[in-house]
Amino acid sequence: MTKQEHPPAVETEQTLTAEDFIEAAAAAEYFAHPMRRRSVRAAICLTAAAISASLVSACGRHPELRPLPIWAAAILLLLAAVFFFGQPKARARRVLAWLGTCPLAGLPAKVAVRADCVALESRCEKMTEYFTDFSLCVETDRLVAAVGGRERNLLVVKKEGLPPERAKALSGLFRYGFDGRWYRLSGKGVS
Amino acid sequence: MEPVSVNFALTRDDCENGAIARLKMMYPGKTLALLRISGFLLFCAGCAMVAVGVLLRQPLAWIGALFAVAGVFIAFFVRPAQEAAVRHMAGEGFDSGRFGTPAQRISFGPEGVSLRSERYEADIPYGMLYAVYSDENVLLLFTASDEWRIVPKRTMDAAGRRRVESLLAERMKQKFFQEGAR
Repeated sequence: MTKQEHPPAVETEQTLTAEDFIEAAAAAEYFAHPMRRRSVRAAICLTAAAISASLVSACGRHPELRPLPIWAAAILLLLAAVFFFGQPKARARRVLAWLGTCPLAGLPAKVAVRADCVALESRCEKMTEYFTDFSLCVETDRLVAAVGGRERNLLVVKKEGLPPERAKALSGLFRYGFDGRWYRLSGKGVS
Repeated sequence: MEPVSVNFALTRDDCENGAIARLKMMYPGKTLALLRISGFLLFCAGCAMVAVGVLLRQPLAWIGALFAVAGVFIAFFVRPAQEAAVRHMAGEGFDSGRFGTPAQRISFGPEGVSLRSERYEADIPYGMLYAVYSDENVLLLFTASDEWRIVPKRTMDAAGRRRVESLLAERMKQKFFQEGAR
């Protein structure tokens, strides 16, 4: 039997900031829950508003009912605006609140990414998280976020600051380890 | 002071007890009392509507009956239903390995708590823990609001429990919650 060759491990050191966690949470949520994307929610509200507005003409014989679809359309438009503009801020607040409860997540840590797992070591913790335990992995320009770990639900590995060849190797390891559960999100268009 | 150390393997019962303890922490006695009062008020309102509906021969009686049934459910059956759901989910979580490696060693020292398992090792000062919750069956160590570790109390003798609880009460202060001591 031939032994399968794994790509070499990539080691790095990182200190995660609140911005990193906010970006990672947004990227992960974008693929983990497509129906929760602000664009999808806003589009649903706009469609419902359009349907509601179209019902005004259906109230021809009952003019006293006309304000109802108009009010419903107005509320739905407002809701669309709330989702589109307020959702990123609400998510950031949620992530910051979580980070406030988990000082361990912000400690400087050594990270070793291997073909099947990530090993993290900070001054308080040492953990090994296997890729098979995670539900998905999203790579952005600055970092890699994986969701659903046993020890920490949101695992973040920064690519920022790494030499291009090591960043590419890191990306390759996650892509290799997660295979069909790996996603790429380019630019800052996370919503 | 000698640290209090426990070695254990988590069982399905421990995971269920841990999940129930978390539910109790999230919905303490005051919330439960408020829920029961709202259920009772809804029941009373429903009964009044039934009485008025019957007297005036209005369909209000049916709506009142629905309110009364909802009130009884809220007052008496919401918590048991929640507990049953939480037990079921915890059991499934244990079967699928979501509670992590069963074999663990946890030490409560004077400065912090030390955790050892196959994939996780930590020495966490008490100040860095989010909270600790204790009930009759388990201790829950929260390393974040959504991350907790179960320490079954069956693994400690009575003296060990007392030492751990007094240590946690002293070090964690406001962040140590004891069932029945709110």
